[in-house]
Amino acid sequence: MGRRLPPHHVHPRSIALLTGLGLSALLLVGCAAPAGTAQPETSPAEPVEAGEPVEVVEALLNDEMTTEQNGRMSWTTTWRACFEQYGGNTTRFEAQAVTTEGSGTSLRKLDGQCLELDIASGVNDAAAGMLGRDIQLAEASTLAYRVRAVLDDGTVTPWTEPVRVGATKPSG
Amino acid sequence: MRRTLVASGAASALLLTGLVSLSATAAEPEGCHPTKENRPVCQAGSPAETATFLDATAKVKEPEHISLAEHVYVGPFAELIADDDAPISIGDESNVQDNVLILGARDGDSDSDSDDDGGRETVRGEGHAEPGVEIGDRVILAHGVSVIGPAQIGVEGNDIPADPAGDQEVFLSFSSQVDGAVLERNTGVGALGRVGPGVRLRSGFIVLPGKNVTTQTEADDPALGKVRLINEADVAFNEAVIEVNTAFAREYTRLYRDNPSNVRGVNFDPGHTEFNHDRNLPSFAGQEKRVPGFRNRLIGDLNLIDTFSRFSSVSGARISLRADEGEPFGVGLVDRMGDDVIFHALEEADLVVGDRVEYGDKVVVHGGGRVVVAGEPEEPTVVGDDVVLEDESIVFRSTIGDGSVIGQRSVVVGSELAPGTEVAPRTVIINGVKFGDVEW
Repeated sequence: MGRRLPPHHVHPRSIALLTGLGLSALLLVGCAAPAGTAQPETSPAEPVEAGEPVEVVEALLNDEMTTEQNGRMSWTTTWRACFEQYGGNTTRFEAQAVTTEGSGTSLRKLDGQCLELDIASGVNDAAAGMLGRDIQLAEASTLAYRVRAVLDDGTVTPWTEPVRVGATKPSG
Repeated sequence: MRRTLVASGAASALLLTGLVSLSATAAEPEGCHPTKENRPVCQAGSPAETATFLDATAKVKEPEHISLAEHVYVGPFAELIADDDAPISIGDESNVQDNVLILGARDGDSDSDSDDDGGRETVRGEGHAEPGVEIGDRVILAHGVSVIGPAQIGVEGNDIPADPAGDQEVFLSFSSQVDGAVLERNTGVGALGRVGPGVRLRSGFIVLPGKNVTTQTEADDPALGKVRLINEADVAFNEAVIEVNTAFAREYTRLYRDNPSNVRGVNFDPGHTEFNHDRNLPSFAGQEKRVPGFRNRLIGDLNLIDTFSRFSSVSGARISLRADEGEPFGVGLVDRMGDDVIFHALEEADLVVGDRVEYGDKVVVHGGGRVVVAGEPEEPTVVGDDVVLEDESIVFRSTIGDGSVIGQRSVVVGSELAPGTEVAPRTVIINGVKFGDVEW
């Protein structure tokens, strides 16, 4: 999370929508915690929720390739999803992983408004391009995140529906 | 039960990291031996927060040669087969999911000296492990995995840049196999992938679905198409899965202590987790049932169309339909269900299987959402009516149209298959496209 991009990449390019997904397609349905039930015994005290879930304003894939010796290259595909400020009083954003095996309990602090994750990488002959990128993107989509804003009065927004890793949404 | 751990002699040329090697030697932790008095909670009397839990149906042979650390979850019908020459140890926060097999040694192998192993010396390369199976901390053995000793997983090796926390995970996906190999820390194997004898999978690499890695060169060079590098998404996924399964160790322990019969047969899920708050019972033809004496494990909010007696008559043995994460599962009229079938899913109504479905042996049906149409809710995993799932096939985050046939040992992930689709045996389908063959 919050990874810094290497400064010497030779061919960065933002990948526009692969599938033309809209915002709601980024969101999983039916994965939020059920309402009206007891909290897990081991959970820390939950902060008070207020307002509405934040929205994804942009989600993009970015490829970086670096030429190595002997005709090889290293490459990385990064997924970056950014969320709206909540009424100007957001102090930070937190994310929680949602997997095909269930939801994690750890909270991850976002770097600013954005969640950023390397979701594919490789080192291979340059002639082969980004070898294995597609399969890595497919496998990354087993992971999603739900996100909330922490407000300056200590309250939090409700969790978003989980946002599928690798899904894209252009800004605007 | 002490082992000497030999550090990797060669670093991967492809891992471009300045990383720290582990110490050259280490002693196996004492751990808990899952003897009768330490079942299902190991150690008996441990606080739930640190307990290891073994499902009552898990098979344990020679428990005095098996060592389990804390926070370990061992699922239904898992088998841990050790002997005095082939011990098994499992580290903290690891999990052994449904129908996993950990075999300390093949028959006869465990009597062999490491230099005289009945003809298998030709496979002893960098991936040579001490006799038995040694599994480190934070190793995930997913549904249907098999590990055959001598093998070592998640003990030696390095930290990787994708996991700056340095707490390491290894993930073995559905029905994959480690056979006489060493998997270093921060490695993985995709669904129906395999790492063969003598191979060392180095830190930072993961075997692709269906691939059979039988040489060190294949394990070291992604350009050969059998392995790839682990990325941050893999690490985040693994960390969350470990959290889920350590919660299972804790909450199944509590479920057992509330009533020992709660963890047998047709029964409650443990609830009280971040991802599943309530305890529920399966229902058959609309009637909730709790049958602790049943031979199979049906857990949580399963809704079966069949009556209990009909389901019992058409289903085999060692079946685990586990709705302790996802719920409810809707299960139509079962045509036939073979042995060792597994259902599992994540939260809420994301697994529906139709009527007259025929399940072969060792089939895995695993739920999970999938983006299909822009602006629409994600699709749940659905298996249509009159589908045939042949032996050892896997369906994951997919929709299988009515009347389709998924061939033996094929895996379908993130795909929508039209009605009447026939997937050939040993085929890997990912996102609707053939990725390759299952090579073993």
